Amino acid sequence: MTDASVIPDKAQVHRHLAMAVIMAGLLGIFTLDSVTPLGYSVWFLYVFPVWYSTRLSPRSAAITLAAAAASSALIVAGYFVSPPGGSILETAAYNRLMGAMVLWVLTAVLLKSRTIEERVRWSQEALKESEAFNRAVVESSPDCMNILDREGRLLSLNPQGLCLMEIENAASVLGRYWWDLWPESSKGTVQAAVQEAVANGTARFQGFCPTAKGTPKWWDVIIGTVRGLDGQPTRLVSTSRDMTVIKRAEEAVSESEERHRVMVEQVRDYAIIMLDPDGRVATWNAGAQRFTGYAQEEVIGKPLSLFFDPQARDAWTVELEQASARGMYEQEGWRMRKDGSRFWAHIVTTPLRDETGTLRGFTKVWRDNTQRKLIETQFQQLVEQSPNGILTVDARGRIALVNRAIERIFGYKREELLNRPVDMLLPERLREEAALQLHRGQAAGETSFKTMDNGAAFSGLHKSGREFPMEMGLTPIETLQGMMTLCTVVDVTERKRAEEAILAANRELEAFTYTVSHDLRAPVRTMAGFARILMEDFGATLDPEAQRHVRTIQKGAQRMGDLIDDLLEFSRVGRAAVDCRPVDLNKLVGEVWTDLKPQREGRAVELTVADLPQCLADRRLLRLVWMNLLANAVKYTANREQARIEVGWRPDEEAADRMVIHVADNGVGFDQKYVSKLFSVFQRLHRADEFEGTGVGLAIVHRIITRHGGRVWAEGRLGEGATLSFTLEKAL
Amino acid sequence: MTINGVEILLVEDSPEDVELTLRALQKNQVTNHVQVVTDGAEALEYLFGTGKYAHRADGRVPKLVLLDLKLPKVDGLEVLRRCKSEEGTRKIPIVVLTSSKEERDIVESYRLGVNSYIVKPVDFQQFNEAVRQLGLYWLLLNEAPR
Repeated sequence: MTDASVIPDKAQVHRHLAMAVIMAGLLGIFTLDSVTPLGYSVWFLYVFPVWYSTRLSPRSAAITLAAAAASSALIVAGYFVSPPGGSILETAAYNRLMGAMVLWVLTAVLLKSRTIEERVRWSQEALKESEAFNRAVVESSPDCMNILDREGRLLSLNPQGLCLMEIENAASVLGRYWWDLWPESSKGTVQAAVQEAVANGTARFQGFCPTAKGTPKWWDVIIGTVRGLDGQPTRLVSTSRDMTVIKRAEEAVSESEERHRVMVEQVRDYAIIMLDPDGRVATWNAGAQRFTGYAQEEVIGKPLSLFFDPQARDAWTVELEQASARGMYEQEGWRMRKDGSRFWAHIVTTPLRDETGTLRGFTKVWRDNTQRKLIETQFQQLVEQSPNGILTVDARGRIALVNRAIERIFGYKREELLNRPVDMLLPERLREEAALQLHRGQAAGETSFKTMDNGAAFSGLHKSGREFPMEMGLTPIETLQGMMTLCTVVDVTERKRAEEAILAANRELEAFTYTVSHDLRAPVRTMAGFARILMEDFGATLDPEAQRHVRTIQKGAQRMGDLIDDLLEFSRVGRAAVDCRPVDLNKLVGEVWTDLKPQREGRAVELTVADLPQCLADRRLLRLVWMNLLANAVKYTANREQARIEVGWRPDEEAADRMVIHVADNGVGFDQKYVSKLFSVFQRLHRADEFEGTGVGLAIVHRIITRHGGRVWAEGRLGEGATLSFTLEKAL
Repeated sequence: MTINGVEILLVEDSPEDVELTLRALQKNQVTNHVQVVTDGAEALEYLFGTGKYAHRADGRVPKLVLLDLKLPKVDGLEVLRRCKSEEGTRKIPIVVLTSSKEERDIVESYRLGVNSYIVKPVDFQQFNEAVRQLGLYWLLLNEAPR
């Protein structure tokens, strides 16, 4: 309706031209003047506006043609009013010229007015079109677009805006001040932004504004201005972009960052710190404070070297270099506390890089392993300093750890042993069995003990190739490296040598007593025997003095025989194996008392025996004890008119499983100050002519009771009797 | 060589003990012939008719052996063992007559089959008594092993 009507088509032009020719023909102008040059020019001037008018609207064309008609009428009129004196032709030409000029002027005026009119119409059309375009843009915008007047009142908003703001009735918001639609807290910001836009042409802000239905939303708002011809803003256009989703995501990220930060800060068992790329402390947490004693404000910005021993301050760069080279660096080491003390830290250092790979810093996680380190160190020292050899063997039979004693025992240096088969420490003949033992032990988790006592001797192999006797304990242990066997090794060379020396000494002693038993008695027997023969065969011819001498020889020989016998007895009870079984003491005492009948013949000896419990002892040896004790009691009460011997017992207050048995008599007793001599061999408190004896009896008693694990002691008062006490284990 | 067809082999290296033993036997009216040898090797030769007793290879054996344990050359326990392990001599009663009260000697002797074990006492009176009982027991009450 616009262009099509303004720009006529060709057919229309032709029609106009034809009309102009007809009109001119009708009026005779064309025929008269067309042949003269002037006629052509006039024609051109005359016709051109007509032609030009055809390019115009019909209304303009009509005006043009009307003008042409008017000018024709003027030409005709001019013909009649032409000045006198001129030819008709001159008059006609003059008139035509005048008419054409009038026509031209008229046409020009008409055309001018028509052009302005057209232009106004065009611009109106264009404006209409542009408005439609703008409306389309506005309506299709995904954002909420508000048009405000310069005071900030809402003039309109796009459909998307209604939708985003969940407004059902646009009328409810139109005409209101825009900031009044925002929550109270944002009003100031919005108002300021509007003012800024009015002043500077544009403004931008972010703000929170729930929708009409209350859905919380975040907006990113840009305000632009529409200026009038005077350059003053007439309208404001605000474009509000819904950024709730982005905001939510940002919030989620920062919330999670905050949570992490709080968490890291609160961790107490680990020091978690961040360093800048130069190794200065950037963040600090509770664990770090706990380990080092430094508060956050004391260390932020300080270099890592703060925590290093002054002698090893340069080492800190190594950690960071290693970490950035490897991506992560794990190590353990001593670190300094604020107070100068040290803690053993397990440290993991990780470099932090941004997306471009640029080093942004480091995180460090420390764990205070001081306690573990101390225990480890102590344990290591225990192992290292142990006088016994200690080594561990892994499941493949390889040596994993050795201590100093192992080096000494086997003659190898540590590095010669580690990771080598343990077989190298054993003679070849034992290797198979040892491997079996190790395997069985590890599989069953049982401890075994290899000694040289039970059966085959167990030997170690020294580096020099020398075999030596050893004892070896095998204990399976579970370690981080898997099942291991802990072997404890004792070199028993010295002990074995000592044992052999003792055995040899014992053998010698046995040979000696054997000799004594046989050979020492033989000459004594010869003396006694031949003295008797002398008396039997020649007694009658010997004078009394000679007979007395012979009897002295006999007595001496007899005494010598007794001494030898007792000494052998004493030696024997020291060597005899103690075979403990329950013994009925009442019965035993009865038997011994019966055996002593010859000694107490013709005497009044009263024996009182309490009901004795069963005891655990070697009956044969215990019999010797009773024999000696009761014989002594009988012997030392010899000069009593009424001899009394009392046997009793009580529980041993020093050991619950034992009892104290005593034998008390009312004999001659002894002086308590000599009690220490009582139990020694050949020590006697009485002269031989007072009471016979060799001084071995109580020594035998002492030895037997001691070999039973008991104690024996004596109490006596000179002339008032003696009490011998000993302890024995009770039978259950 | 034999009297009354009975003989006693006394294995004893000490001449004094030999004399005392013979006197004790005599005093107790043991009148059997006593053959004395002074070491274990000679005792074995006598018992098995070898060496210087090879001429004695008539299969006759003593009726009783009185054996000391501590002997030159071959000791008494070895003589006892050999004697008790041979068919021909197993049945000869053997009495160990020794100074030793050592338990292992006594145990070993009985293990090897000794018939009696007598410790020579210092007091010869007791010795006489022991020998007297021996004489009665082995020579008078027992039948000859053959």
